[in-house]
Amino acid sequence: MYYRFSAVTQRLVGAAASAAYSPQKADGLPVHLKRGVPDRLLYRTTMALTIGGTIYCLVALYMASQPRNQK
Amino acid sequence: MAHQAHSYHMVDPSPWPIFGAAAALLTTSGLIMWFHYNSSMLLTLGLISMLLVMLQWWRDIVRESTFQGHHTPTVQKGLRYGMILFITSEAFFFLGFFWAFFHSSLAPTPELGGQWPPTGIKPLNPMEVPLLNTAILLASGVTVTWAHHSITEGNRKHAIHALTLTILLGFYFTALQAMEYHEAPFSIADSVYGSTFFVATGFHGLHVIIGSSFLTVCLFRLIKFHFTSDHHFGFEAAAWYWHFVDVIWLFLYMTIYWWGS
Repeated sequence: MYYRFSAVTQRLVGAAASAAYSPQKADGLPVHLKRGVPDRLLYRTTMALTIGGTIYCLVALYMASQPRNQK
Repeated sequence: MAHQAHSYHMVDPSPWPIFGAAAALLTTSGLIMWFHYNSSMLLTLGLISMLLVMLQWWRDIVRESTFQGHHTPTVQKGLRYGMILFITSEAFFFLGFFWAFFHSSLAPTPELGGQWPPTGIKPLNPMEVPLLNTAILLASGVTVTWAHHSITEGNRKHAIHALTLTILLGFYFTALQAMEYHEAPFSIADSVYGSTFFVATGFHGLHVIIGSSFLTVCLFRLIKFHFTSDHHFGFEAAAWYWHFVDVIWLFLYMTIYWWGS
């Protein structure tokens, strides 16, 4: 057992909050970045793919909208 | 320290809605590029970014509810309304495809031989695999209800067993449908019969996969103690969606498979 109630006083021992991540800590971080590094990595990857993709999409749509030469 | 004087959840600013909209743009224009210009780069980008946005947005909702405690009864009521409205919109989506089926099958044109099924089409026997699929989905409706009762009664072991069984039944249905698709004597290109059959059953199959995924996420959350016996709306939403998928199948079976054969 990692945690238990101590003998006479019945205090909970051995259940300290994890140092890595506390969801309710008032650290000003929004929920999508709360865990720090892994959240930032995923966020930046998503942003790169969506924004880069949107630019690529606009270029592709611009090219597709050019009239083809009649044969 | 300022506290809000209401029970609603004012969410943190989030990038997922706009990224999700961008992902939808990439997916739809990607479909055009794939259909007409033989390029699947944009479509792949769109689907990957859609997946990333969905994962992170829903991960954040789990953080806000289970770990930060923002889902008051008021918030939960709003989520219930939202899920009901979403499922209703999906029902209308399928209504369109049923309309298309009846439009073509109630008055078959001379090009089809004036009959339904059209001349030359050998429909699937509704009493074989489709009937088994009906039994599978009905059974999965029973097991998901069993899972729900187990959650409200605090019976962890039964809840995990019942939800696992529901997911396995869902996978079994999908596997059988995939096999049926592979073995069918007609294709989507075989007149309006093929179009209505594969588009309606295909979208249903997609919804079965979505529903199974939702239930699988619920299973992980159940195992990790996210749900309490009073508060488990994520599971209820998944169960509602699953029952909806089951009902759509029953309509598909009775109309397209049975009446239409």
